[in-house]
Amino acid sequence: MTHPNPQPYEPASFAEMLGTENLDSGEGWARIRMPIRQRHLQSAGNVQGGVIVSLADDALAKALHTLLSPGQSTVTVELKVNFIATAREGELIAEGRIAHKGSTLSVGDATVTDGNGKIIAKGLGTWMLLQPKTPSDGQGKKTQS
Amino acid sequence: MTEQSDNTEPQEPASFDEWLPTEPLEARDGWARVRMPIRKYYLQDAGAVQGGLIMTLADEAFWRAVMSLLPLGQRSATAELKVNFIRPARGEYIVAESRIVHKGGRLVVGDTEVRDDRGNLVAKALGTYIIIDLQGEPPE
Repeated sequence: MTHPNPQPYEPASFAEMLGTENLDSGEGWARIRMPIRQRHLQSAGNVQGGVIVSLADDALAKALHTLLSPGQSTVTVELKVNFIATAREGELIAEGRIAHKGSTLSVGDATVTDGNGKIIAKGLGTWMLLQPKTPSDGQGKKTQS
Repeated sequence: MTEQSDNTEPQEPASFDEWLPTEPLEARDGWARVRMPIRKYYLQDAGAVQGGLIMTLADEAFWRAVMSLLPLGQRSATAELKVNFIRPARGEYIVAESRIVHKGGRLVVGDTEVRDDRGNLVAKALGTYIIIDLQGEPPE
């Protein structure tokens, strides 16, 4: 396979690799957008399922991050996506909403639509909240290095 | 991003396979294994492979397992996929192994495990594929 340019494809981040942009976000929700590119399409010419999942995951992670305190982080524990329609061109928009934020687990749902508002996929997932590592657990000062 | 890139800018990949390369290892009788080499830009902030990519690989292995059972003239599409993420994926590559647990006339259910290069279980997936004939209609 010939490639006209000498530089290897090496995006700086996963977001750049996927090609997403943040649209807007608020308390417990976020919307992101991804213009559909050739690289997102599987052999039948539709956006590959995992790409749609990545979008849903990303929108939900961003939605959850609007609710976190400094130092907290999250990991996806579980994610389920139903694929409803195919997408071939234009753009995809993912909107994530946190339905429940607990002290350990949070649940959110995501909707991926095309540029005309048609539903492409629905996702429901669970995130685990990771607390910042503190040197002390209440039994006095412990200094580490 | 400019459409007219000069040659000093890396050009974006022209296809899905070039963008997100996976290597099919084996596929037969409702079973398939696929490997994905990890690139550094696959990692999220915590340094582990982003969850959507793990699902992409799971879906790819699942699709190959489904296709190993279908006659020529039938295609399949993911209807639904659920993944539990067990531990962060790090290392050189991840491998997905998929097994079809049920094949009906229209729907196929499959079970997929994703492991890291040391064999640790990274994610477990269960999903549904729909069978489509080449005219785009489900088979009778």
